[in-house]
Amino acid sequence: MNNQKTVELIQHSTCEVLSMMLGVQAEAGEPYEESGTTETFSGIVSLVSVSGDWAGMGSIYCGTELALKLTGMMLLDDQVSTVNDDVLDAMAELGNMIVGNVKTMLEAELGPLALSIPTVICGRNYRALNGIGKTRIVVPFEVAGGTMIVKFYILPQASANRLRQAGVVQNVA
Amino acid sequence: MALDVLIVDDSAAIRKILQRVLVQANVGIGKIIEANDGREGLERMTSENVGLVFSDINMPNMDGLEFLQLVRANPCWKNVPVVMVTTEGSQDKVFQALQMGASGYVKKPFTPDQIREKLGTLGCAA
Repeated sequence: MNNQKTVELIQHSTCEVLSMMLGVQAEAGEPYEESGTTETFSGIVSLVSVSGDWAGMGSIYCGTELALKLTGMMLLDDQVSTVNDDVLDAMAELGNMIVGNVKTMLEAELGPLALSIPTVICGRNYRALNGIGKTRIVVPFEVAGGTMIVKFYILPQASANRLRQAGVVQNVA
Repeated sequence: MALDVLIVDDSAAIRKILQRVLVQANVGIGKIIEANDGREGLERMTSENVGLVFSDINMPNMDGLEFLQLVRANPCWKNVPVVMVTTEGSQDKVFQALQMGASGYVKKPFTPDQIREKLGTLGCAA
């Protein structure tokens, strides 16, 4: 997979989802690649895996304050002030739509892919590893006065299996 | 006569958004009934007089395609319009849903106008 093309798909999908479902414009920052372990994070991460002849995972990272704001915009509710089921559900659905649309666009090149049900994690000072041992594409977005980060990787299933057998890749969700 | 609408989606956020759009569309929608997955959807179909269904595809317990198949297999519900509202924009899933008798589909993310347009094609114009 061409990394530049994947970056463009992530940018398109994220901006479209935020614009259509929340009515807010997002500005994509400079994309970069990340490998190895991640820094500790506080906030909410939504993880959605993709499987088929190619397999991978997308994740959406969002600080608590921004998650509350985005949930309020999504539900047209200005009373969202604590992380509750609505917030976790809204973040799960954002992850589902953003990664799902990247998946759908990738299918033209990679063939049919399936999408998992989203997993959402909320907490302080934790690490969420999205594809251990693999290089992830990371795209930050400035939206609603905060930063949302989208990470994504995908690789041919045979490679994924080899890495898994070698103990390099582990399931994290 | 107002149609009672069933929304089947594992995301409460999407159910709320769809509910809001349907109320705002002002197209003679009656009661709006919610279900968390296909299994709950079938229970609601049995207990309520549902005239229109919006259903996600990718759900736990029973997905939208199995739900659609069971709805279409029941003579009482075979003519109830079922619109798939889904992230699964792949031709494969969409074709499968339409082959199984879905009345149409709306891809997530969606705008209120897209939902209103779909209601129009089903004869629920404002």
